[in-house]
Amino acid sequence: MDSLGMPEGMAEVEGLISKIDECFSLGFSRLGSEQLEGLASVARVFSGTPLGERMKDAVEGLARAEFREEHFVSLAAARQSLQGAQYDALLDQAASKGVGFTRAAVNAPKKAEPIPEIATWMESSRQWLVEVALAGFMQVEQETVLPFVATLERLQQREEAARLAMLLSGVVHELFDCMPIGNMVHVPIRRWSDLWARAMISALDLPAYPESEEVSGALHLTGVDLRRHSHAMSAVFYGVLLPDDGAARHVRLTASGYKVDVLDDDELWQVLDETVFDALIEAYTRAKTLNIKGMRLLGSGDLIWDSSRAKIAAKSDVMSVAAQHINAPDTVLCDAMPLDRHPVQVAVPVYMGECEVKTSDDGALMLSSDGFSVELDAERGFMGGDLTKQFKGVDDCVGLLRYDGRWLFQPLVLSSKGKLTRQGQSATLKIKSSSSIGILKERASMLLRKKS
Amino acid sequence: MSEEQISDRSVQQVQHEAMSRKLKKVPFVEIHGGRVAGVVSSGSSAERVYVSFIDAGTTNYYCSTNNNRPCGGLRGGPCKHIKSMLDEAVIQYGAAKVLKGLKIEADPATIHRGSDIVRHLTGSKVKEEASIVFSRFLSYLRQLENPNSVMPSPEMTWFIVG
Ligand SMILES: [Zn+2]
Repeated sequence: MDSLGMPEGMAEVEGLISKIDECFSLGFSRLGSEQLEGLASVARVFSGTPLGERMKDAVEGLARAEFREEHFVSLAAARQSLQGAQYDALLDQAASKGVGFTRAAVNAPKKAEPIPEIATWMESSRQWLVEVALAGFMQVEQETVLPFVATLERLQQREEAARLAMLLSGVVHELFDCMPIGNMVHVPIRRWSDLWARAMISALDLPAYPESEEVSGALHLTGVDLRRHSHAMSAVFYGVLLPDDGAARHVRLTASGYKVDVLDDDELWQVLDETVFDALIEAYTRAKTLNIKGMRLLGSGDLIWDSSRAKIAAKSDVMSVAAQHINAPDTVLCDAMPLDRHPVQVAVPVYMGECEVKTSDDGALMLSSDGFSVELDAERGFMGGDLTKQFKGVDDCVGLLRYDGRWLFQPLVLSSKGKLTRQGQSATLKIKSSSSIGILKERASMLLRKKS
Repeated sequence: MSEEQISDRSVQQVQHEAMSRKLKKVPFVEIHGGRVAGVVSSGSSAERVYVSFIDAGTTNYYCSTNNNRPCGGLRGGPCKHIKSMLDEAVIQYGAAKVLKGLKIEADPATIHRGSDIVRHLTGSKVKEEASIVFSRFLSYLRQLENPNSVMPSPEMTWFIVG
């Protein structure tokens, strides 16, 4: 396995994305000739492609101060298509440098049937996103965001809209939290433009999923990527599925729930319904194999958790399964769904045997194993602490190769003399009445029921 | 905008992480809409809560029950509910954020607990509608009633703190 660098063509695409993002920062109602020329250069890249005409119309429309929603949708689609190309280039590079896996393509799913009531709130969401784009992130104020909160609360109450609602809850909270934005030392323009574009695309149609198959076999959970913001948590369990027949597969299982801000890392697990997720959490925290029978596996590698199709079985020897299968050339790794292709969705599982951590000359923590070296991702706060300390005495580990301007390694599980360290390892779904969730649930039963 | 004002990472810790705290006495406190506001449990009835708030700038304050009955403790200064609310606000958000939320000029290092902020309040009791605070508390509670999901949620990949 060779160390990874920036794929060819990446910098040019970055340049195009920055031209779009500059407009989001400044506000589309205030574009000057420089920004409009920048957008035109992006549009030219798309000429002759399916997006070509739309982008040309969008840029010409925006130059005439014609702020129609469809123009903004075109911009979101163009941005997404550029990042989709980056996603492909990154996965190709990982494969060509010898990170073992067999890439499996996934087709675009059929559009989901709209639900009229939710469609109305999605339309309001798109209108709000247009308002934000017109104002520009640097100018967003309380008054820009407050009118959208009522729509957001409606979206949150519908399971079908959970993905869009969790995304928008994060965006709304983050914007409030950062106000006044003009006073920020670092304005995360790339990040906010990403979130804006993703939200615009997600607000067009309800999520659709690729074809699925029913799978059976032994599931070994390696670790958890714990994503969260103030109002939602979403745990992604990464694992290796050894099917009853066929090659080993990289799979993911997602469990998401809404939360409130005061919960600590232990408590946030308790927003998950015990009756649904009990066996999953038990298998993970006790390092047991899950025998699954006929569980739905999407073409994107996502297993859809169903406790009636899983049985807790014998102890899982996570590290030896990892050493044997994670980077075996025939282990299947599915691509992200077409709408999700974006550099942040690159998550290639890697096993690092006999690993060591060193600080590079520019202060980055480098993890290496067998001549392969990658920077540890300090931003994602594995186990909430100091990575140098956590890697002390670690023999081998499993993590995800990520990309965010450069290649990074996100740890999932560390092993030191057979002892595992992984996020959520002491998670419990039992709610004590004295815990934060216990108290808030009791209040809710008193005040919400009484009112309704 | 200068170059160093722009930060390029897509996935980064932008949001502040609220500190966890005991919720028994003060189930809810927030800095929002030009106020520091909170909901304080009543010592005597489980179905009654007090809604307390302080306006930024004027530092005028008020406290009433969720049924809009004025709090009896407001004679001559902020009541014990307002003090408890400030104590918990300092724990959850830190003194600097609470002072900024109230537009009070004071050194955060001198604020160890809520009562240290009470000394800086120059406003007085002003009767104001508390229903906004209470309804924000109810929607906060409703978050925990919203449905879980087992479907993939790639949008959450951007969020790593909170
Ligand atoms: Zn009071």
